[in-house]
Amino acid sequence: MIGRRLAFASVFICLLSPFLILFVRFPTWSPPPASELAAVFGFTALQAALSALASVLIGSIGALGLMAYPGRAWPRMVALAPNAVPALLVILAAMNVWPGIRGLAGIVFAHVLLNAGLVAVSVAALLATRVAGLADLAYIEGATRRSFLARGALPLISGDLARLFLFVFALCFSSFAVPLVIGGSRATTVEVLIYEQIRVAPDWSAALAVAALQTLAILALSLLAGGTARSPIGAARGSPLLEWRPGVAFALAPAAIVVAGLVVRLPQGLAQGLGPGGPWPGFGGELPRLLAGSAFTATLSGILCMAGLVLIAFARPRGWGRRFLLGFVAPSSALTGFALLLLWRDTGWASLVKIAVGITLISLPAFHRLRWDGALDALSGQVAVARALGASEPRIFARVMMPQLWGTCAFLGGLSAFWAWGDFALSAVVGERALTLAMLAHGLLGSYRLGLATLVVCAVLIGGSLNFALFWGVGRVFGSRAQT
Amino acid sequence: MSLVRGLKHDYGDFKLDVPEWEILDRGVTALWGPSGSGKTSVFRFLIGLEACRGFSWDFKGEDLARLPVPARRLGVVFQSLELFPHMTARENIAFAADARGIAAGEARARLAELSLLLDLDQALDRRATLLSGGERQRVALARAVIGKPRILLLDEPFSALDVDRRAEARKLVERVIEAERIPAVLITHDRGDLDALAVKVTEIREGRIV
Repeated sequence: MIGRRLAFASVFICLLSPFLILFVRFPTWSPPPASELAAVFGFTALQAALSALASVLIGSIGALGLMAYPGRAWPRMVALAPNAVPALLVILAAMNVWPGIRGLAGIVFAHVLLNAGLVAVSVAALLATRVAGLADLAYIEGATRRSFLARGALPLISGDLARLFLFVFALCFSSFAVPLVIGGSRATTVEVLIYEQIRVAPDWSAALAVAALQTLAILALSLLAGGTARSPIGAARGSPLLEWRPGVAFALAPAAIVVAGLVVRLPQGLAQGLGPGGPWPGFGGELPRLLAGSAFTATLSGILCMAGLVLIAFARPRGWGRRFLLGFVAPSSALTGFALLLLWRDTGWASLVKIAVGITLISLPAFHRLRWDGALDALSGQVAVARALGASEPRIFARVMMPQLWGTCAFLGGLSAFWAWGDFALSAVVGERALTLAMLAHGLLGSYRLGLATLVVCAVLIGGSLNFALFWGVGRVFGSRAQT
Repeated sequence: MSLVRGLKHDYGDFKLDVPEWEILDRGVTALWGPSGSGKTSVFRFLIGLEACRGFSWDFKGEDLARLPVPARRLGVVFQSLELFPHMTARENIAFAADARGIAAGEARARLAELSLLLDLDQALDRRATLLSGGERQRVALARAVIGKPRILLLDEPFSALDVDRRAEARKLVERVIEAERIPAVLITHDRGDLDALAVKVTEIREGRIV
């Protein structure tokens, strides 16, 4: 029991550490002028509201399309892909398909690319679980699709749609990577303001004040949104009134745009990077260092993420501990990076360690909420039996739980590594120069060298995929060993 | 006879109130009631998944309610059986023997004995996920009793079986209880279980013993 409490305490402290570091190191705050704050918060809320509204509208139409493919996983996986890959890919694709993309419209466009598929899959799951039975009945009684959707389905799921809107609003409100690259000078969001106060101004006490206000806003939003958002992939069941085959185009369009955005610019990138003027003009010598930096950061992030998940599994939190983990809102990239920056100043490998730690701190609560808590919950009956049979906590953990959890644990560790390959937002706060391939891509995006950026992003994608596969393989080996 | 006292808990929309309940030292004591009557809540308190102040369970002079869950030494079969899916039938049963600290030689002998009693020979080396419904239930039963528990607790153990299999399963449970000479508590909503197994029946409705 003491071991479990210690495990939970260590997870608890780690998750809160960015806040603790900031409050300990910076006891005084001095916020920027109220007019500037109001303008920035207003713009952040506006872009988040428009992004969430467009995502929910497009995603809801896409959901009707997904409902036409009940029991098939691939349309749902494709729809979710833009949300699962690093934001860098989506941003670059948006810039490639929409030359000159900037400002509010650009931010909303990129956010819709990121979130519409997720909304489509979530709404499809809602329709399948909450509405499909009623739809069958209405179909037999002769209702039309339009009348049933308007008078049957919509009133039934309007509350859930509102929560989904707030969930996407919160994601866009705390989005950093998209406004940092696409926003431009007249489209500053709260996250970008924090970044500017740290890296450009620099006024760290103002950054802290803005970060504290933003944290309160996100906390309030997450409470309004109802806290938990679980993995939306589930067995979908169709119903004639809920199916509209053409709608699938809305669900899959974001993924198609991302792929098209990369493919369309890749030949130019290959010509620039590997052509007669190459290889990699201007930064060829840096590539091995950046590649090693990316691989190191990503692998460490995956390992740390797995360690965190294993600790949570050992702690098996219940009551308020479980509620804390499910409701905990991870600090934003800028705030996490800022806290890690305050630990010590450096430019080398220690910065990479900080980036890996930061990515873990941000991704762990989301992974727990989306998959890990459910995986632990599914074992609760077996754990109860094992306890009643007299098994000790370490025995239950080692012989009942972990053999069944290694696969999921390694999958999530691999996902964390994949995201770490593509992270440039948190890295930009922590690192003072380019340390990874993603940071190099960020620099190239800033100078509008989109061809080379596409080439680097493809390398990021390949590296991330290999790293993910490595974790997945290790998980399978661990799992099968633990079972024999 | 063991005596359960002071089992009271307020769930907000439901109150459990069992001031006193006697469990026989031999044979099956059944707790019977409709769905939502509080049977499973009583089961959870007995095995220690939930706790409440004032609850005591006097078993031969020892208060089991004060003991940590593993030290209560109970055999448990859940409605969902909860076999460990990554283990074979043999490993499932051996897990319980290990957990109770039974020496390897004795555990092997017990396994052979139970395997004969429950006709498990053909199933022992198959993964839990590959067992039939009846085999899964027999494995769950063997796992529950291999550690020589004080009491065997059965929560709706036959509800997942079809009608034909139930009669057979009830006979198996009866055979195990007789062979192992352990008292059992059966939680059920099925009158057929009472007719086939129960020596004593207690009815529960809306959280209260009737």
